[in-house]
Amino acid sequence: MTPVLDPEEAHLAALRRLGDFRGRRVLELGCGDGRLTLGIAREAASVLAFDPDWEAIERAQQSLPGELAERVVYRVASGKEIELEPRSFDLVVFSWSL
Amino acid sequence: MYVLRNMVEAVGPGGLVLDLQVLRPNPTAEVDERFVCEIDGEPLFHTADAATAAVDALIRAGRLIEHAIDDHDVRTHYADGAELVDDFTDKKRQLPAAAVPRLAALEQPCAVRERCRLRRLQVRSPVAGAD
Repeated sequence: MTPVLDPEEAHLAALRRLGDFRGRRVLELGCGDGRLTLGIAREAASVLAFDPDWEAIERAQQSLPGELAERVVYRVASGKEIELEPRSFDLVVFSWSL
Repeated sequence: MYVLRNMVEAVGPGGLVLDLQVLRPNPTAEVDERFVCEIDGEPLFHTADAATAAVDALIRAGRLIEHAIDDHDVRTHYADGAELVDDFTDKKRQLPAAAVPRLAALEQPCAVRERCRLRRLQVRSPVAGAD
C-alpha cells in the first residue's frame, strides 16, 4: 500500500468552485504526479504542467490517458527556470508551489 | 516573487491565478475521523507564508485583484499507523516524538487531515509607476 492523497478530490472540487477551466489554456506550477492535472485537463483546452521532480513527472506521463494526451504537456522544470511566452495562458494554478 | 511575476506575465491581464496553499492550524492524524495527535506544520507554513506575502505584494501593487477564497480540508489516507509513520520519515513536517509509538501501533486505516486555502485572483495591467 502507498499513502493516498485526497481520494475525496477536495482540492479538485475547490479548484472547480473557484475556476472555470472550460476551453482555457492552463498553466500548472508544481503538478507533481499529475494528481490535479487530469481533472483540469478534462475541461481545459490545454494544460502545460511542470514540476522540478523528474520522477513525479515520469509517473504523471505514465498515467496520462490517451484521450488527454493531446491536451496535456508535462515538463521537468522549476518556476524559476521555465521560459514562457507572455500572455500565452488564460489561467495559472499554483499547487503548494509558489 | 520572481516566480510569481513570471507566471503572471505568462497569463496576462484578465487572466486568472488560482493559488493553493496549506493553512494553519496544524494538521492532525486521525482514525475514523477521531483525533489522534497534532503534527507540527510550521516548516510548510513558513513556505506558505512567503507565498502569501508575494501574492499580497502584487495585490498592493495593483497587479492582482483577489476575487474569492475557498478554505477546505484535505486528507491523506494510510493503510495503518506504520505506513503513516514511515511516510513522515523524510518529510519537513514532523510527528511529535511522544506520539510515534502510539501511531505506529495503529493497525487500522488512518489519515492526516490538513487545512488548505485556495485563492482566486485576476491579473490586471501593470500600473504605471507601481513596483
